[in-house]
Amino acid sequence: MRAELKAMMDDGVPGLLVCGGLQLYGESLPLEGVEVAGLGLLPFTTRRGTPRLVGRIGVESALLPEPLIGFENHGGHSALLDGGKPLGRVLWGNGNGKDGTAQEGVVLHRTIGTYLHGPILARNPALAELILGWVAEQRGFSALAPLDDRIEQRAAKNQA
Amino acid sequence: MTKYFARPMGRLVRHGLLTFGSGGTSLPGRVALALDPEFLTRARAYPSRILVTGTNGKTSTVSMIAALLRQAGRRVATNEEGANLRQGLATTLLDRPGEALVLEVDELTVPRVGAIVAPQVMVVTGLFRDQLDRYGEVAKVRAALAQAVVSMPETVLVLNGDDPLTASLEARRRVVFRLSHPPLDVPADGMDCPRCGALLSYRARYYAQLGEYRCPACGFSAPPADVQAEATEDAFIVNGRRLPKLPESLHPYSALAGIAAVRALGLEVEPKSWPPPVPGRGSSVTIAGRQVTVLLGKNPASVSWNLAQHAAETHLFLVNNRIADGRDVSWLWDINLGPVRRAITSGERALEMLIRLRYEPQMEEASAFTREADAFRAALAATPEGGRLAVVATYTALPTALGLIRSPVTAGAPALPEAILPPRAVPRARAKTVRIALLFPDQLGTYADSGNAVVLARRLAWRGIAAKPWRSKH
Repeated sequence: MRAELKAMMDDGVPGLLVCGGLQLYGESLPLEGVEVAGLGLLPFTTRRGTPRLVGRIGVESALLPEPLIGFENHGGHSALLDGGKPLGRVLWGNGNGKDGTAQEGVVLHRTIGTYLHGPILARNPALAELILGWVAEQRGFSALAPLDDRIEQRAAKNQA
Repeated sequence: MTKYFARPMGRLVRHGLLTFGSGGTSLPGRVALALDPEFLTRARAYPSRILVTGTNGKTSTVSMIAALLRQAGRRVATNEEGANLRQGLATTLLDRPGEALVLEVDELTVPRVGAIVAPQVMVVTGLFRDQLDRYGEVAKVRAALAQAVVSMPETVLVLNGDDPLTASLEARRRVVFRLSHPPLDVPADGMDCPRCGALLSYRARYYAQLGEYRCPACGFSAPPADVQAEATEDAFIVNGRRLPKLPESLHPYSALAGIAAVRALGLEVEPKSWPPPVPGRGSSVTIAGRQVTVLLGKNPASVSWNLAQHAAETHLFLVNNRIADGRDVSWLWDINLGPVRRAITSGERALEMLIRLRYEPQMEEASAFTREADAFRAALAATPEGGRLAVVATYTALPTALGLIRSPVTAGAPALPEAILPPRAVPRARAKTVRIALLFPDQLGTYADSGNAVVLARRLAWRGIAAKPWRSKH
């Protein structure tokens, strides 16, 4: 399973990992109080921490024109390992951990890991479009026609 | 000494609140508890005591138990719905004790009051994901209840055998109720074996984690039923006895839990009729020739079941995300919205609900209104005469919903919506297909993350590209 997932990642197959999925792709993670090895596919590590990080979160990402918004709820505190690139910088909320780096998530090739749920793609159609754009490119589809996302834009404005 | 004033002072405060028209159910109890921290021990003055807890169906179950006990000639006291924390329970105890006390108690309040009230019977209706950000995972709620039960050794537990989280609670004496329920697609939160953590396997799945389950690792399985029921077209059959057909508003689990609880108390009462709906729990009124039904929407399980149960032409969703509703609105994505075609949304999270409806392929039209009164008026206008409007309201929106049906606004010009669902794209030939893989959906699928796959699939479909979902097993 790990080899297949790694091959897909290296081939640039777009992937989205949220919360537990992100932790699982990292080097290590806490599972029922015990530290266990993750899949080791992302330069990311998680340990049990206090307090549990719960609440609204906003993230500024170089990949996107608008901030990402969502909700986070995780007991694990994470950190990027050497060379790891975050998805973005925390505008409000916690992100990976309370270590003062204000980093949120991780990006490697076309795999995005994040703590934002809500679900993240419904609230942030620009991220959905980024992923679908990658899909279209990889599959050789013609450019995808733009969609009307004014409701989401208005909802995001209410959240910020 | 102050404790002798607890009851008179509490009653005085309550009298004041009633006089000045703010129907406070917690302040009088808080005053009583401040003067006498042991005030809840007064519950023991009632010869018969039943607690009802669980995430869903507490209020309806209490009304069912009360109806049966009254049918048996008992004088019954109950707490008002929602007043299920310590203060609210204390407010109920300000009255002179009757013969039977039936209290709904918040799941995480049970550890603080269970041993004090020392009930003969405690009903656990079921444990569904509810306000995750406040209470943590549902397994933690179960663990807190399991702990509390140890401090109540004399109490008979009345348990939902179809719910593995509930059925795994241990007690010296248990009465298990079970139901045959047709399947309804609602994601589960408690599919892990509560004994050993392995993934449960199901012979029949009702909805969420309910069904006929067995743990392949440790053998834990749905316990045999003491009270078994089935709701048919024209009857409710309990242990082979045909009872009158259930009203639409009464959940068969609530009726069943009530019957089992009274039996656990040692009484044989066969229901002659069913209690009327609790306001906001499937209660209906007729407005301008349309039937308007108000449904409390607590969590994915309750909303999905209510939508399937109360067929309606139009739906009005009033969605807030205050503490009591849960701050996180991602639960909206786990609702089975299959029966919804035309909808209006309002409340503080009206736009999030509209976004949720956008991804339902069967939606015909939907819009959001800033003001609830405007939304209600538009929803009523969108409902054909003789048809039904179902109003689904989250916890803190429920009083608003009940206020709207009491005094609907019809004067003046109708308001314009804040947002309207974009028209559906014309379906085109789908020559291209994209595969979307969901990894470990059974283990990691909390907070509606599978909604992300739905979003990608729909956004592809709107461009004429088919998406093929694939779910990994482990």
